[in-house]
Amino acid sequence: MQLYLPIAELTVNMFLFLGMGGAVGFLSGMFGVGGGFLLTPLLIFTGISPAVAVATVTPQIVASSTSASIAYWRRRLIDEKMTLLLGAGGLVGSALGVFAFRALRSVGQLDLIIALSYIAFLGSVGTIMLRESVRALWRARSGRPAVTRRTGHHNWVHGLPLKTRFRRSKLYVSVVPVIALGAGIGFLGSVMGIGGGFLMVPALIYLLRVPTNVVIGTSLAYTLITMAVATVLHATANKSVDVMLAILLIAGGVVGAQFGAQVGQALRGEQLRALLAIFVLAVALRVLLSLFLPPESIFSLAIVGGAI
Amino acid sequence: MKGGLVAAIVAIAALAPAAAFAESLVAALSDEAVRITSNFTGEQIVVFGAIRGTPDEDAEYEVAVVVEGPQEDVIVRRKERLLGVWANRTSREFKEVPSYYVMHLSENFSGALDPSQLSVYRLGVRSHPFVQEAAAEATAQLFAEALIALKAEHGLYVERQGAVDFLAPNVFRTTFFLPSAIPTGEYRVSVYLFRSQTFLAGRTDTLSIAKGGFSERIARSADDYPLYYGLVCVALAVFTGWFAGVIFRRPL
Repeated sequence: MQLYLPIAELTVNMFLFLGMGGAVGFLSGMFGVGGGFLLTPLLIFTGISPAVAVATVTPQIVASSTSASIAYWRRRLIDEKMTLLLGAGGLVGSALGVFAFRALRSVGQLDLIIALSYIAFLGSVGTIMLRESVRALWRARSGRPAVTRRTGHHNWVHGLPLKTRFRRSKLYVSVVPVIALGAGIGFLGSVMGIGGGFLMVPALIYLLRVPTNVVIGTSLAYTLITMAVATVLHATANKSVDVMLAILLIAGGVVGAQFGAQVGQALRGEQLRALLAIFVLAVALRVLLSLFLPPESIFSLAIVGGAI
Repeated sequence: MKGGLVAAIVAIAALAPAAAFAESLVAALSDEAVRITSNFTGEQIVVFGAIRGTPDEDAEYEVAVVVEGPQEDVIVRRKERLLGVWANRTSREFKEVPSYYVMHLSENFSGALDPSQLSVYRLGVRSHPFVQEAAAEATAQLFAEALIALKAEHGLYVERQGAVDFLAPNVFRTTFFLPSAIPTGEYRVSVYLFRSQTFLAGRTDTLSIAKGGFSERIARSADDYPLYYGLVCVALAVFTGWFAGVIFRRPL
C-alpha cells in the first residue's frame, strides 16, 4: 500500500517501512540496543533524505526506550540521580548537536560527517566488543574462570572534584564526568541519529565503574530523555520530523522488539555481544565502502533554505 | 471531474470551427488543482487545446506545451576525491530555477525552430536565464548541465517530441505525468502555436499543486506550530512505547 509522507515529500510503500521498523526492532529487542545506528543508514539507503532520516529516527528511539525503561524502572534497575545528571548534560549536548546538524547541512558536509562518525564510533566500539566477547566465548569453552573486574580500582575520573554519592550505583564520584558524558553522547546522538546506548553502556562500565545491573536501565532512561529533547529540537530547528514515517517505524519496531527479546533470552550474553559486534562492524564497513566507492553521481542538488 | 472535462472538450470543439483571420488558441486542463493526499502516487494532467483560425493546406500547425513549476534557488555540489574519500568540494548556486519543467512537442515540430528561436520564445529548459547565464563560464555550464541531468533523473525535467497528438487538424491533446515527489506551488501551463517557423499564438493557464487532506494538516502543523508538533511526536512515541510494554509485558 502506498503512502505519501508529508514531510519527506515522497510516496513510499507502507509495508517496506513497517518491515524495516520490525526488523530493526527485532534486533534491538534481542540485543537491548535502540537500533538507531541500523535504522538511520537504512532509511537513507531507501531514498529518505539524511535530514529527515536522522530527525525521524529520534521519536522511534523514544518509543523503543520507553517500553524498555519502564520494565527496568519497575525492577528498580535505574539510577535516577545519575540519569538526571546525565540527562542534564544530554539537554545541552542534544541542543548543540541539532544546531551543528543544521550548520553542517547548510555547508553540504552533513553526509560526510555522519558517515565519518559512523565509521569512527561503530568501528571502534564494534572491534572492542567483538574482541571482548570472542575472548569470553573462548574462555567459556576452555573451561577457565572469567577474570572478574577488580572492584574498587580507581582511575583518573575518581580524582575529579564536586563528588556526590549515587546510592543505587553504590558510587561516590564527581558530577563533572557524568554531565560531560551525557553532553558528549547527546551531541553525537542528535548529529548521527542514534540513541547512543552502545556508547553509553561501555562508558558507564569502564569509565564510571557503574555496576552492570543498573547500567542498561540507566542508559535507557538517559536515551529516553535526550531523544525526546532531540525530537522537539529537530522539529523546531529543522522541521524535518516526519510523523507518518515515525508511526510506521514505531509500529513495526514495538512488535519486532517483542520477538527479538524472546530470541535474546535464549542466547548467552557473550554470544549476543559477539553477534551485535558483527552487526555493528557490518554497518561501519557498509558506510566505509560508500565513502570510497565512486558515487553514482558526483553531483548533488540541494534547495537553498529548504527543509529537506 | 470527468463531466467537466467532457464539457470542456465539447466547448472547445464548438468554438474551434469559428474561423477568424488571426489564429487564436483555446486550452483546457483536466484539473486546475492537484491535491496531494495520503494515497498520492503521482497524477496525470491532460491538456486539451483547439485552434481557431484558417487552416493552411500546405503547412500543418505545430504545438509545444510547457508545464513549469515554481522557481527555487538551488545549490549544486560536486564530489571530489580527497584522500581516497568522495566528499563535496565545490558548489555553485543557481537562482530562480524551475522546480519542474516538462515540454511536449507535436511530432511535426522537428526542425521547425532552430535553437536560437527556441530561446527567443523561452522554449526548453536550456533557454532559461539560469542556463543562459551559466553558458559564459565553463565550470558554471558544467554545473548547470549536472542540475538538468539530476532533475531529469527524477522525472522533473522532461522534453518529449511527438507527445502532443492532433485529434483533428485543429484539435490537440497531450498528457503530463506529475511524479509523487513533485514540488508544491503554482504551476504554469503554456501552449505555443507555430506554423512554418512562425509564432502564431500562445496562452498560459495555471495549475495549483498543494498538499491536501491529512497530508496538508500535518505539513502545515509541522510548519506553523513546530514546538507542538515536536511535543506531539514525543507524546505519541512515549504512549506507543508504554502501550506496547503493557500489552506484551515485555520481559527484561
